[in-house]
Order: sequence, then structure tokens, then C-alpha cells
Amino acid sequence: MKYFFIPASVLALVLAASLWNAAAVESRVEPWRSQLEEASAAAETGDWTRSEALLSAARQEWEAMHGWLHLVTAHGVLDDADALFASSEGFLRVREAAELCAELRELSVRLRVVAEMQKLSLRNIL
Amino acid sequence: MATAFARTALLYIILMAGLRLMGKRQLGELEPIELVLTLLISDLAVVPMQDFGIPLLNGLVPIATLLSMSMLLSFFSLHSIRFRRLVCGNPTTLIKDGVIQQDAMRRNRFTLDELLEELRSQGVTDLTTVKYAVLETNGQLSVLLYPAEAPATPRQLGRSVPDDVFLPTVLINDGRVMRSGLRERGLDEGWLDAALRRHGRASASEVLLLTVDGAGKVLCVGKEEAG
Repeated sequence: MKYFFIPASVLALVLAASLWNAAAVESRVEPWRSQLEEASAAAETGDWTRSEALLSAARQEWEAMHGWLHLVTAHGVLDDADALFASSEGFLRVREAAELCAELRELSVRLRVVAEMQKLSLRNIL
Repeated sequence: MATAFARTALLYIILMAGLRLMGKRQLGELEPIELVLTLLISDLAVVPMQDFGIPLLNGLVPIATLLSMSMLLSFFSLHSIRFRRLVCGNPTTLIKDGVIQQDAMRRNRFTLDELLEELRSQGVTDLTTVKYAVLETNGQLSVLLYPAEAPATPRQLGRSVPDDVFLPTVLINDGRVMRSGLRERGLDEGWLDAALRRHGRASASEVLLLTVDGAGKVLCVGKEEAG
């Protein structure tokens, strides 16, 4: 029966790991997106200190997960998000609210894509 | 460069282990699904090997999935004849009692030229000598001649033949003593030393190959001097 249980276990393990990974990535991405939205709202009201703190916190958490995300996501998508984080910080430094908000919206979409790519959904399968 | 090296080495080891798990069958003996699987796996391995923007896992997960599904398929094929027929199909008789089964040929899209080519490759040039030709599930054609056309066996000729065919066991392989072979034959190093002396060899390092069969017949091939 080991010729049944070994491959069946591998398949079950791969499926379980894929589902766990999708859920774990989504559970981390959603708080970052909220932080980015809050940072955008703070920048629009001129609260640059709060906006900076929120963006910095989101980036730190993003970088802490970089190793794991590199294992499961196409590196190009991560590089794009990295570039958007860097340009957002640049607009924050020069206090360009309109540009910053546009960049944060784009970054939020990219992060959603990172989570969506991991999901076991009909849209992804097809 | 280092990434390419590391990824290639890792994927090579995984592919080797994976193909080893698939079994010992040669390429020509693979069922169609096994052939497709082999091609798919090699193709999947190439992508993360060349494109560093793709995580290695994106190559490994499909390979592990395909290999596991293939092993499960083999398991179910082994345990269920119905499932095996569903996956591998049935052998088809293309020539029965010397008559070409034209309907079976059409159903298998097997042309007359292909049939004649297969027969020629098996040394058959006269169709009337063939009693059965069976297209196996792996695509090979098995040809059975009429008894009058097939080589006669000693039994058919009423002769008794002594059973003197034994499987030889390798005891020295390129200068190295195979202790598992000695154990298998119930022999020891003392016997091996005596056998070497009988063949004019001082030690195992002078011998390329030494085998012993079930009848105790020893074959000893010495090493040539390096030029």
C-alpha cells in the first residue's frame, strides 16, 4: 500500500500547502492595503507624519515576507511592488500628495495581484 | 551564473529521482501517457532552469504533482483491470489466422505500409507466414508465425537438452570485490583468492571481471595495461 500512500500523501501535502499559502498571503496583504489606504488618506489631509509611519510600517512588513514571497510568486511582480514602494517614499519626501496617492493606489492593486495569484480560483485555473 | 548552476544541479537531482521512481522501462516501451509525462516533466524542469524570474517551486510543484499522479495511476492500473484498460487500452489483433483485420487497422489508424514495415523489421517478408500480429498497447507489433514457419525448438524435434543456463554473479567488477555477490553464492575471500591464483592473478586489482555461475564455472578477464 506504500505505492498508494506515498504519492497520495505528496498530492495531499502539495494541495494543503498551496491552500495554506494562498490564505496566508491574503491575510498579510489585506492589512498592508489598509495601511496604504490610510497613508493615502493621511497624505490628502496633510498629515505627513502619519502617512510616513503607515507606509514605513507596511514596507517593513512587506520586506520581512520577501523571502517567502520569492519562493511562491513570480519575481517580476515583487520587483514591481518594490519599485512602487520606493517611488511612493520618494513622493512622500517631497510632499507630493496627488502623486503619492496615485502611486499608493497602484501599489495596493499590485499587492492584491500578489494575493490573487496564489488563490485556488476558477479564474486563475482558467 | 551561480543561480543557474544551483538551480540546474537541484533540478537534475530531482529529475533523476523522479524518473527513477517511474521505473525501469525504456523509452520505446513506454505507454503513450508515460511518454507524454516524461516529455512534460523535462519541459517543466527547463522553465525555472532558464528563467530566474520564476520561483523554483513553480517548477517543482508541477513535477511532484505529475509524478505522484503517475504513481497513483500505476497503482490503480495494477489493482484494477478495468482501470488499466481505460488508461492503456487493449492490444489489437491486426492479423488473425493469417487474415488482415482491415477494420482493426482502420480503427487504429495503422496503414498497410506501417504493417509491412513492422513485419520487415522483425524479419518477416511473406505475409502468408504470419498467423497473428498484435498491436500492443505501447505501440509495438508482436508477430507470431505459423508453427511450420517458426524455428523449431528442441522439444518440437523430440530432443532433450540439458538445463545448463545459469545466471552468472559478478564477484570482481573493475578490480573491486563485490562482497554481496560472494555472500549470494555462499563463497568467501579464501575461495576468491584460490580462484584468482588458478587464473594467474595475484590480486583482485588485476582483474576487470570475474563471474561465477550456478554450475561453478568461473570467467576471469584480466585488466589490460594502460597505454
